[in-house]
Amino acid sequence: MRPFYRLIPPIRAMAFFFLSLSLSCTASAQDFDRAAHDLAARIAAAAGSGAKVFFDMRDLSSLGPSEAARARQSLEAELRKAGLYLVKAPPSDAVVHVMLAENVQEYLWVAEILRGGTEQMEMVAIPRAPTQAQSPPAPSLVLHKQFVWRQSAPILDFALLPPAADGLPRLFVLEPERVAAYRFDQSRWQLQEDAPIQHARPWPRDLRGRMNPAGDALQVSLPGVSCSAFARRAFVLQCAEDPKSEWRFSETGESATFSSVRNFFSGVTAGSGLPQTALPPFFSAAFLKSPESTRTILSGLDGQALLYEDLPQPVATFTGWGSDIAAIGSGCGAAWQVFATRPGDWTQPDGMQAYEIIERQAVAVTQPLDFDGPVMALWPASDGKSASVVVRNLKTGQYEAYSLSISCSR
Amino acid sequence: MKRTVSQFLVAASVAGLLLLAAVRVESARRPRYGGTLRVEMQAAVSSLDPADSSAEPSVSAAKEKLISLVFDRLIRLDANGHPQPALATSWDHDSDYKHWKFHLRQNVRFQDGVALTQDVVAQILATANPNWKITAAGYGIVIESGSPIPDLLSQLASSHDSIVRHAPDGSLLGTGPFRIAEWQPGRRAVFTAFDDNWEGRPYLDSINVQMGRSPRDQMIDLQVGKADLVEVPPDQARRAAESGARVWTSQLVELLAVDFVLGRPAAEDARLREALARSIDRGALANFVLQKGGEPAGSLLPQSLSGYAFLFPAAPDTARARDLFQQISPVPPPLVLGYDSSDPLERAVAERIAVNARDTGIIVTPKALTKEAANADAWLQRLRIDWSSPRNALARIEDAVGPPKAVLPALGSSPEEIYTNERAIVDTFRLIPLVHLSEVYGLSAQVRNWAPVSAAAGGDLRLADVWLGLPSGDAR
Repeated sequence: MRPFYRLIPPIRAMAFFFLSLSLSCTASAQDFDRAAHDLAARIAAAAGSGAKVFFDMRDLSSLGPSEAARARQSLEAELRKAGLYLVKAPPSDAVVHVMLAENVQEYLWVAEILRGGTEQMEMVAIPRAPTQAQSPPAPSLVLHKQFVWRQSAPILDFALLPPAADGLPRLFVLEPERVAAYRFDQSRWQLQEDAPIQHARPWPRDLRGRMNPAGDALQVSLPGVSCSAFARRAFVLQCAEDPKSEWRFSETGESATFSSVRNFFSGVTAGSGLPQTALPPFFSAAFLKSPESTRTILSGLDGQALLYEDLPQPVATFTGWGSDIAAIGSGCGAAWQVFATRPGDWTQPDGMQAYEIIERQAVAVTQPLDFDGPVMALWPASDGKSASVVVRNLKTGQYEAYSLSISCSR
Repeated sequence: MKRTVSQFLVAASVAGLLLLAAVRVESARRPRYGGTLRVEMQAAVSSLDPADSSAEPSVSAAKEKLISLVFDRLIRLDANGHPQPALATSWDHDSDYKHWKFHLRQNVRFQDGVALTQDVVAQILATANPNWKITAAGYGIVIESGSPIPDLLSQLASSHDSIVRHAPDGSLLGTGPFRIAEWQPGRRAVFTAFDDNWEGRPYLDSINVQMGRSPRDQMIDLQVGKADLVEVPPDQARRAAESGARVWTSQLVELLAVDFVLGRPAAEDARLREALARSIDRGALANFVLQKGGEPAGSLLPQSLSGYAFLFPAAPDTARARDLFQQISPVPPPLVLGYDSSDPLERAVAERIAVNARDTGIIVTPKALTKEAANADAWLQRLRIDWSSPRNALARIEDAVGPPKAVLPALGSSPEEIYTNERAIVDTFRLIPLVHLSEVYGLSAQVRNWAPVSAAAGGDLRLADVWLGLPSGDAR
């Protein structure tokens, strides 16, 4: 017979798998109490009433630590009620290993009872009940879309800068072959100047680019090329081959290495708090800040978004999102929200929704916002409180730039 | 009990993995690199060289699709048929359209790494167009002609003016997104991604093309997962869609018509030709024989191309047809209508025409023949519609089957001039338009970003922008 402990790895794997797929369900406390009562009765029957029992329990479910502790307390109480004496260490009349696992439909208590050289398995299922997490609260925040600019040439990124010395707001638009600088003058954006981007190799077909303004400086990142400029002087871009191609996500220091010949990040991040070990390649990332730590979500090439906390192993998986995500610190709700696009391809209109990560679950906190075409770029803006979105309008063929933000109330 | 636990774990994991796999197919929106697209087609293309002309319109159409994988042109057309930069980034011309300057794109390489230069482009285009004087200039090339060439941009967007280099070993080289890795004429081709394509490496690693596959075999291969992209005959498109297949339908890109053979006694009587034309119920052909896979055509050019097709009625006029036929004395012998023996659609149409004709007294004998056989009075013809302009479309039809050009006025560019020529062709009843047909493709679920350009832009399948949705495990 296979020792029970050898089942732990597959159970762990399975639990992690289900954790990934179905974190949105839990069971009521009453259900757990009933299940604990039932399981205790079966254990008592197997171990013999009045027996001394060495008992341990492992939680492989997606329950939080407090819920798992409560479940354990409930089971221990029921075992005592059933007439068993729980001892903290052998010797004992019986050894009982209990695992709290789960599958897509239910939680599962699995008990292995070892007594007198025999072992017996007992299982009790606890149906999942809809909870607050499964039925997220009605979205309480409001997603705002503000149109900025449209043009027929592709837009890779854009940056809205506060007024310069002339008192006029500025807009920088990153295109495949140039950066164009506009001033908001006479009620419209007017081209002030532009600067070509020098590059020796052809761009990747799905060309992506990032523009980080910092004071008067403008840092432009493209696959295998980086450029810099000073926005207040004569607008000249200094570009150079940059095989390392490290792109900055935001002004708070997170960065990652971008492939020079493809459309994704190679997986090494800095500033996220994650060890710079081999993370999987990803299309986009969201960094959720808190005083204690940074949680990182990577949008993988396989269409799954992985949530990382402090370790290089993901702790949750989110499906049903598109390839582009970004986090902003709106100060509303849980302070940080993640914008996520929808699945599909570039022949279909896209949409955007904001989520908060609550107990490792993605909970929608705004109504979805529709666009007239696929989202081609999504980056956190330099203020950290909004995001820059580029959409290719399928009706007009034009590229449209929007600023996305969140307000706290309807 | 242990066994039960293990079984439970295995079953749950398998179910979960299946669920996960299903989710994966539907998720990522950005392009995925990697994978091989498996394409099947009925035509047997014997050469990819744009300079080799093929007599069969269906083969030419298939060849055009493959050519665009490998070779670029100076100009491409947008969805409205307007010229856009390709290998040429800009251009200008003099007031009488005889002197054109083209600026060439920089840093473009052929698939063997050789740089594209103005000298090479000038030489290639001069070979393809001996009537033009083409010279290399510092910025690009100059094209000069003794007569105005106002539609030069449309011409340069055609496959005839593809930029093709012949390597010393005889292989063909272009600057397009795929290179020819294997070429078995008429049977099989393999195209692999060209990493240094000026528009960026395509997402697919390769495209495998099987030629000479029957429509039935293609549909079976699609259904059993052995093909990703297959042709669907127009008359089977509806059934395929109803059976759950993923199908895509193009604009109307083909004209199916009866083409009378000049000099055949049965075809020489204009009254007989007109009687046959007026006897045909095109609505029934489109709705029943083609299962709504086509549109009734009284004109050569579709309404959406010419804008005046409504001036050519498509409805039958049985009374007039009967009257015309009764004027013919003696009664003509049965009219032999030939159709391509390998095309079930043509056969069904020919048989339907025979039924319509019989209602007016005309005896039509459908006959499956090879094109070499000369004993048919008329043929069913499938003619490609050139969407670059109404003028080009009509010119191509005139070239293919029209009456001798001497009987037609010179083809102008204005709608009135084009209409006059089309009316002249139709009123001879030497070419009887029947239906306009679309191209229909069946696609596997993995094919993503399927967005062929419009027929006005040449109907390119744009396979360089397609990616495969299934995880290939080799995203790079």
